[in-house]
Amino acid sequence: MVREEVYRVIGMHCATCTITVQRSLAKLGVEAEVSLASDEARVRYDPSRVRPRDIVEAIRKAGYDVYREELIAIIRNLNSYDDERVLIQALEGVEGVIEVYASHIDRSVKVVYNPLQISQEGVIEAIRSLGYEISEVKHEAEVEDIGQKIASEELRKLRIYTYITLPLSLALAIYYMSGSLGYSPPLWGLGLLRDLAIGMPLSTIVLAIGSLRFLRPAIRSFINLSPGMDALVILGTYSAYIFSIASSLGLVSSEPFYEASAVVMSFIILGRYLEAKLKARTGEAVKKLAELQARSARVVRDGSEVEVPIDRVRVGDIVVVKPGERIPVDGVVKEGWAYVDESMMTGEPTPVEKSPGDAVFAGTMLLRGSIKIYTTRVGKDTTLGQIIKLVRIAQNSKPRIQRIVDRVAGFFTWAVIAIAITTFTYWYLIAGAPLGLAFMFAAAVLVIACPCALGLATPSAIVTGFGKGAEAGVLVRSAEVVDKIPRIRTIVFDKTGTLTIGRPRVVKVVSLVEGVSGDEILLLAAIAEKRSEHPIASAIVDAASEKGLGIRDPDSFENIPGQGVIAWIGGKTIAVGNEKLMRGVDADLNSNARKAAQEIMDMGYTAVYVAVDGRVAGVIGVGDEIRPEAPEVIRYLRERGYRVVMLTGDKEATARVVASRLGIDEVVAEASPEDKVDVIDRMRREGLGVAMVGDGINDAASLSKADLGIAMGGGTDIAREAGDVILVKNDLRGVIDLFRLVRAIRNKIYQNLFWAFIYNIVLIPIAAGALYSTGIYLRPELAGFAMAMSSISVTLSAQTLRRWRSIAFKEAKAMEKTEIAQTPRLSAAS
Amino acid sequence: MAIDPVCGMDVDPSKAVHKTVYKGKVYYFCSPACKAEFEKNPEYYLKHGPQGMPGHHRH
Repeated sequence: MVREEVYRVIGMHCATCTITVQRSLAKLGVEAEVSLASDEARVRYDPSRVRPRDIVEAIRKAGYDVYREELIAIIRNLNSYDDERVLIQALEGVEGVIEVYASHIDRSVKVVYNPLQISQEGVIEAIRSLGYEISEVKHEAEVEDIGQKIASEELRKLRIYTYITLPLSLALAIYYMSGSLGYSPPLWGLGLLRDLAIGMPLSTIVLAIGSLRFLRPAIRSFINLSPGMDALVILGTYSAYIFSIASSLGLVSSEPFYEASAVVMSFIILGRYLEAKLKARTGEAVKKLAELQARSARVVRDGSEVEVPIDRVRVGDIVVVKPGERIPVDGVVKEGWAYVDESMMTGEPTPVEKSPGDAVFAGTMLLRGSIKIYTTRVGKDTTLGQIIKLVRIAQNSKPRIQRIVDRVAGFFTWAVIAIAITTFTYWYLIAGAPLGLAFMFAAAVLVIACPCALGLATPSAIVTGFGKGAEAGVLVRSAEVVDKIPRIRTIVFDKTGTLTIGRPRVVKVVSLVEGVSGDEILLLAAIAEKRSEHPIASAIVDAASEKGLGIRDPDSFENIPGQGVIAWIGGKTIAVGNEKLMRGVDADLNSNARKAAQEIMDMGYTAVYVAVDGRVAGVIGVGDEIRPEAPEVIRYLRERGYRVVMLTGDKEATARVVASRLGIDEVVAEASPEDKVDVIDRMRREGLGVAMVGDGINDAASLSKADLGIAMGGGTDIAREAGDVILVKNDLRGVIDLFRLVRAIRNKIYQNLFWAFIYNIVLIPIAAGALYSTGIYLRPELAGFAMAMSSISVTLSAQTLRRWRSIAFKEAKAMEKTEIAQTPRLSAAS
Repeated sequence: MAIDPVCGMDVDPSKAVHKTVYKGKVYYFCSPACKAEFEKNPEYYLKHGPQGMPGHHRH
């Protein structure tokens, strides 16, 4: 089945643009007709092979953007994960729908669609026809920005609350403590009046401030019959407070303990403040990325360069960038040349040369040269903007373990309330203790049992861990990856672009003429190939220029499709190509030449002959080289008992050669994208968790089919939606890092949960007065302090994950040390 | 301008898509059919000159 769709392309301004877009789409296997006049791309594709999001991504990859619209709808009957999955799958099959995100937690669905193919009404109709009831439709909402704003507002509020309540309650505690110890602070001798003048007003202030934060949610949770942590806080502090007022008024015969309610409340506020602060700190990865975004840009307006704030730059503006500056927008080079450091996106340390027609990306650094950029994307639409969004989404998702903890915390609250009532009843009615003492024990139970630490254990580890991963180039898109990884037993690797570099490189040069070096052969070939655009040609030219060989232009040049090239320079004829071309120039393939070629082919590479004036002078082996880090990664996984499989569309023989060099036994070759999906499906049905590692371009379908999809994100593929995890740095070792990181995060979660539970279980009986006869008991203010400490210690413990290091980082550090030892430092004068 | 050695048509070498190399010399063709015909028997066409479009000429 073939589908035809029209996309509006943003940012095309020249005839070359249309060719670039067309070429990028052709790589995807999509028939495309791109028109500059209408800014439209008309594409014909097979929806079972290519998804609309792949088309959008291909256009973005070329440096342009696609006009899309968004619709956010609240769905009344979106109740479970299953509903969510069904909805996403069904909607993604609708013509014109590009991407769908759904969440049953807030019952929302976000549909990104192509308005040239489907209208907003069409999308709504499609949702309705699937049996979902829409209760509200919102347009392009700045949900993430609002979330960010709320978070910083919350932090600011909690800071103010802490600054007011903490000194007040500490002063109160010192006042009462020193009084009890026999010192005589002001007004101490006044008795009842003293409490009404100092204890009650100060604790009232503290409680009032705390109530701003905890009272409403606590009441709401009681009404819903699902009391949580806030409810416990309110019960604990208010019971101490009301008791104290009663005793001040002489209604009960006991000393009041105003300070207890104040201290508990202020420590809990402090705990919340620290939690918010640490959470903000763990969001550093996002912040670091956000810092790469420029604040202003130099734009050409009316023939002169003006500096304008970044939010005033529009698509189509010409932006000028000079050395040492970060590129502020995504776009296409219009004029000039430059060396650009793209390492923040690709991890590739070598600067990339950019000349007119090349795509450049916001956040990358211009090192040398100067360019004028035709802007195609700004702000949130840039590749950088999309990365930031992905990291944020991941940090806000919840793994299953957290959902279990949340539910447990709910039961826990009821249990604690029951224990508190029992405690009071026991001491007052059975043990015959004074009302004040019985009340104190009950209050201590309520306060100590606050499950804040339980609530913090998982999110603090996830947020910190994933932040670390993002720094190392391992972008985890969903917290559920933490649940998925332990179930994985089989890891399937795509070959081209994943285990191999993905583009041909020169792997071997053989000279067949005595006295002529391999470099000379390579140079001759490079001269002949210089003006060809074939991937083999660029491999040869790249290899020669990497070696610093001065490649000259040939006098004339002829490209013979299917054979190779033939070029003339200084009266010499150079032919570079296959056997057919060699016959064409009457060059005899002697046994030496055939032997050299056979050796190259046995290694799984392509043999290219070089003939000079009708005589075969050398053979060059060109092929897709194995990634240098691939053997290490495969060894690591096999040593840990994973089943490793290579899945490729390549010929069986070539695949076997590569597999055997990597130590992979199981190979599935000559597989089409659909075959790949079937293979993954079959393996999953065998009952073992399957992870798929692919380069995301042609593996999108199998990546989403696998239990865990890991996408290699070279360059602009970062923003791909196919994988659960994206290896931004295009380094296969990210797979190892991912497994290591998730193990560290899980260990930390279990460790945190263990301590949080032990803490509560051990301290509840003590708070209830079980050891009262031995003189050990917890006054409510001490319970409050202990509770606050448990939350703080869990959050701090999660911070130890910040010491986690990626493999690449460790190696770089080791390299740095030896380099510093070997090379003298440059003088500071320069 | 170059001449298609099979059919005798004028071919612009800078635009030609169908080419082959014989004895170190590049030949240009108007169509894949001419190219295939030439590669079958290059000596014949070099000796006898263009014979018209393949499939149309008499043997």
